[in-house]
Amino acid sequence: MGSKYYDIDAILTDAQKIPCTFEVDVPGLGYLDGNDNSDMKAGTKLEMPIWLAEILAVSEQLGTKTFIHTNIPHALSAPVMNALKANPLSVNLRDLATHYYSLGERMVNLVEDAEDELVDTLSETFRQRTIEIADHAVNPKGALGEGTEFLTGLEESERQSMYNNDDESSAVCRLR
Amino acid sequence: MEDIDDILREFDSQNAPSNAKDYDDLLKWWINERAAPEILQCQEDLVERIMTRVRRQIEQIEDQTGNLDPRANFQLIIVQTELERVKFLIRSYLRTRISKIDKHALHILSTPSIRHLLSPSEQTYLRTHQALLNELYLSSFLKNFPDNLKRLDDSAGGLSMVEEPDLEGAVFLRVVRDVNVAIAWENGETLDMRAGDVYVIRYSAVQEAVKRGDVELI
Amino acid sequence: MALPHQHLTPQEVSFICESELITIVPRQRLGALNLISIDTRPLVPPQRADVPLWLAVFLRKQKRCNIVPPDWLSVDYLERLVKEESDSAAFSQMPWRWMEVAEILLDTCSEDLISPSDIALHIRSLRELRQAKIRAGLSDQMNSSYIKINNLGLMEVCEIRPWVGKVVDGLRKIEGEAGSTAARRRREDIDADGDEDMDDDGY
Repeated sequence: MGSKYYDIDAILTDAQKIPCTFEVDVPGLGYLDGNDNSDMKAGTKLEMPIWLAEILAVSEQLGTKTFIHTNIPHALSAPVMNALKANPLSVNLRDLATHYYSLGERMVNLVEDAEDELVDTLSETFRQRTIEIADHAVNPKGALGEGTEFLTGLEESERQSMYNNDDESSAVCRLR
Repeated sequence: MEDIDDILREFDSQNAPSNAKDYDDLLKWWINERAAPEILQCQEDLVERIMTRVRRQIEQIEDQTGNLDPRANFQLIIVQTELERVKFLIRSYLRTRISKIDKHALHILSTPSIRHLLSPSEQTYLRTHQALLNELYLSSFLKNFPDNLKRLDDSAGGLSMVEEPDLEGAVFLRVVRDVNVAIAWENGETLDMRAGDVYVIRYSAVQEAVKRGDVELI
Repeated sequence: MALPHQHLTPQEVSFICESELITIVPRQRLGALNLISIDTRPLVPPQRADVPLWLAVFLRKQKRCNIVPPDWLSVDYLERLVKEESDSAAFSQMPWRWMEVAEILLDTCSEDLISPSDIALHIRSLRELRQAKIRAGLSDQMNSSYIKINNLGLMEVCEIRPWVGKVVDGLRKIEGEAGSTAARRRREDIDADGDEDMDDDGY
């Protein structure tokens, strides 16, 4: 599998935040929650970037608890999933998360239940939206057309895909 | 004065069958190299044979330039046109390989089996280029890092700095000979591919088939 | 130094196509040529000869030959293909390089063709019909494992390559090794129907 060390999109994905709950008290980390000079208490909820959450959620200390426990971010919550199942083209993914699919990918590894459903919904969403994007490249709907709302809602990888498609189609058209 | 036809006919018999095959082979390898995510075996002998003919052709052209016979002139234009086409093919083939070498430099350097797929001059290029880059990084910013962060190839934290080719990427191929490939590792699912079929499939499933020539990438 | 794109560009596909042989009827003599990629026989009008397409085009532009169009590039054949294409959901069998060859010949030697404007019309219809089918058909077949796409021409493959590649890779990342249950079900449905909308013959 290709290394993602230098990949900008991977780095930006890592920086996206997800809600976490501390499972244990941690001395001295109170400042994360705005309480300087005090300790982080178990049960505190905090948004943390994925790169940090991942490590803390899986590393174990002596005993049975991990440091934190991750929760599903709003972008992947049940209401959003339902909206996607109903009409994937109408949801503005960009507003939910710039690197939406990568976020989904990472969350699948962090949550214990309902992963199949998450994967299925994301898969289906991805399929339908990518085909719609490919359509746009060949049949541009114009500045005032119905397409613009969809296009502004594209998340990062979809947007790159759209630019690539445009390049390819115009290359073939130029050949005529 | 000897007619260009006569001169050329002399060469005709000596070069008979291999010309067309060599060119076709290079065309195939160029397409394979463009489509494959990893670097393939360098076709050194093939390229050298074609380069020999290219050199000879250039000599021919130089000899004949200045010949005022319009017939010879016309043939010369054809020879030159073809020369440009072949030069493009060789250049693109080499450039594709160089772009892969650049991309996966550290990975190739540290894996002898892959390093052997490179020609000697490609290996020299790889080493010199990497040395230059290291020099550049060190002198511009790396020297200011703490010692334990100076490496360009460490894999702490579960993420390797060394970029490897993505063998799982999708490739397009056409089947040359009937072949059966494994497409899912855990459940042993296999796929029967018939000659003439065209597929989109992950590269890792057909890696061996490509090397054996059972399928061709397109 | 400009490094090449990951995929073959349309110009490169044309380049590849130009290496294929085509039949010409020479109008002027030409001696045998010892080229790097091929040794040509002497051209003696009006004997037909096979030469690479790039050479045929060159000679044609100089009015030193006429190109013999391939069998499939005729109004009757194309009309039949258009009908086949619009009647069935499957892709009709097309020669591997139909788009590029049609392109080049219509461009350079339309006088050698019978009713070139009709031919151009049919080619365009074929293109549009097939493009629509590609989009409809592929969207159902899309999965992270493999897709069979017989009977498309090379140029058509290159056109769909970027986004199909993207979808397959994207699905793979989302689904991981296991693959989603929906995708597996979809694949089973397709296998059960026996490759519903794609022929599995060769060319």
